[in-house]
Amino acid sequence: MESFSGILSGFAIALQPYYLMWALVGTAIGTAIGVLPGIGPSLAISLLLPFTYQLVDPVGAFILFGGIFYGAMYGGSTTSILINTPGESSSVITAIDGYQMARKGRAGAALATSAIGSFVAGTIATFLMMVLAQPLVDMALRFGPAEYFAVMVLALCSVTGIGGGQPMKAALCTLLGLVLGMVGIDITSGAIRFTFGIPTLFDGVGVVVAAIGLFAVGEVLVGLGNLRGQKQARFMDTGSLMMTREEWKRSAAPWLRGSAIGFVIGVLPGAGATIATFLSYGVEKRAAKRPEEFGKGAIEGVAGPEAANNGSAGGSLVPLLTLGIPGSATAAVMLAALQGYGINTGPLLLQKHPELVWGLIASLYIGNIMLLVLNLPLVGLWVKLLKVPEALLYPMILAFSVLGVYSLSRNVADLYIMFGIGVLGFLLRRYKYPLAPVILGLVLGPLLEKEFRRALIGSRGDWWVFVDRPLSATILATSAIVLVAPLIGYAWRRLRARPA
Amino acid sequence: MSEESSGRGPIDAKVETALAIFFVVFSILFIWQSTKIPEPPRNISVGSGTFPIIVGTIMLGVSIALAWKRLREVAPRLFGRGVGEMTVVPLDDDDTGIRDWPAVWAVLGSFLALIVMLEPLGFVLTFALFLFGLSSFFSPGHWLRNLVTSLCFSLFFYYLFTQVLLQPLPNGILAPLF
Repeated sequence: MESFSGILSGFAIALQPYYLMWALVGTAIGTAIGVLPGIGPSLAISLLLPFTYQLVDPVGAFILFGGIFYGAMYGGSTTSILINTPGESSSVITAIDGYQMARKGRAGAALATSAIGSFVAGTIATFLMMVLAQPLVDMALRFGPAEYFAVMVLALCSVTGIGGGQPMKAALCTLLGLVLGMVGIDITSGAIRFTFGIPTLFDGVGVVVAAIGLFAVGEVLVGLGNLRGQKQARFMDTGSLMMTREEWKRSAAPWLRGSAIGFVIGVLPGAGATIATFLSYGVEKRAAKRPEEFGKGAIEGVAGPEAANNGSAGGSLVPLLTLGIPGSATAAVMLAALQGYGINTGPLLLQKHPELVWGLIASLYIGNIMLLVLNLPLVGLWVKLLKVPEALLYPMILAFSVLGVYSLSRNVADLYIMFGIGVLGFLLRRYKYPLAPVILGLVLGPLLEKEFRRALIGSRGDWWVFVDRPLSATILATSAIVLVAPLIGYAWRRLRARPA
Repeated sequence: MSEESSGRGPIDAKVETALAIFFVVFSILFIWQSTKIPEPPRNISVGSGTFPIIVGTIMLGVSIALAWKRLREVAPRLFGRGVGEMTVVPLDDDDTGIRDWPAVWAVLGSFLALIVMLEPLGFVLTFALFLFGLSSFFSPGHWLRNLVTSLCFSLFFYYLFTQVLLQPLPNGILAPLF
């Protein structure tokens, strides 16, 4: 009942022309960045912060960010289908069957199933977010420091355990993020740590500075490092956007399955949209009546993953809005943005700023409808964006990065930090270390340490405090399982592969 | 996959190994720095150094495991089976390969120059030079388009920030003009 009255008040906010405008701007920017290479939603939100802090109130800013987040998931599929080049990592799997459909003259149907699947998943995920928000907040309000600590440990362990197939590298990146989060003045005792006397570091390493450095610089270096001598992409004709009766029938179940998989994976911190799409693709291949068509233009291979990536975007907002724990790099940047507005995150967010939470959820419903309209009839317009020369686009991304970071602090030292983190990010990316765990570690690190110390101070130094309470003990046990499971799986595979 | 097409070669393999070893050294230095954090004078059970030491220790364990795994991968090629086999690192679906290293150095150099020169030269001049230089490096045949775009970009964002968002940007040597 509370959810129902909450969402009604949310619609009263989100339907105001001012907020409708920001939802439209967000969905349009989101679609554009989904189409364009080199810019993801987390980077786009980071770069927009100087504008939003000045021009938009927190509710408007979050409606804008929500639109960007969902829009990027929609837009990423367009280039996957039409030119076999994913705009986002979460659309990589779409290219397999989407491009094959395009080669067979069914690009329009692939785009349609992708957009409708995204709409279905976005709407289901937003509904689940609406239903789960209040109960999760009620539960979280009963948490003590030990439970909070345990939940954050679970978040970081799931980043490591299921965060992209390289558990050790993901673990190292999470720890690097935690280390970066410890730089500066310790919020509990006031001690200055790891600053080496550099005043700029007293306030710590900014999440936005780190996100821009990691995501923008690395992406631009890889993009420009392969630009010369690159072959011109060949565009497929969009054709009719109408799906046949059989295509509707074959898409319906994958949309629903993809939505469910995406939402569940999205709620787990660190797993992210890309993993959701791969899982969904595997499930669809197993469930399909004609699995031999996969890789040759099976519509299920587009419908399922495209629903999954939108479902995961909605799912990753659930822990952010209810617990103050981000589920993805984009959610982490949104958390930093909330803090930049002076808003305390955590379970009290819904009580203290219901207009923000319910306004955002309501706007996501509206944004989904906007995205369906923007993405299907206007697909030709978005494809034209790809004609922006990359020789100009990539340098502009770097220029925006410098402008964004400088305008936040007007301190050149932050630019050097961004440069250093950018070079590190490039090396990590180059050698297949995942980047999102660094940002999640950086955001969660200070919170994790705060709850760790609160729990120990409250128990007068008794370390059993973390396992004394059943809930905290259960969450920590789950964390251990999440962390160890890939290692057991690896050992099991090696054992089976060994000749008898 | 050939070395050239994958974008990876012997230097890459060495850098990857060096990176794995660097993380071990970094973890040790981090733990050492953590032990030097002064404990607060109050008699509280957990000070500012406890959490960093725990994180540093876990990081040391993980980085040693990663370095060990990496060294096991490269050891046969380094010591066992001749030089020919150590030149290329086996890869699966490499989407981060670099084919044009001079381009990477040019981008890094110009990006650093942009940061260094931002305040002395001013926003408009530095950004215009950076955009024009880099876009012309990659697309030399379109210098006029690059020049116009660079100037428009710099001037548009200068006025947007200073006049609309009321956020000052450095004027540098062009201060008398703006």
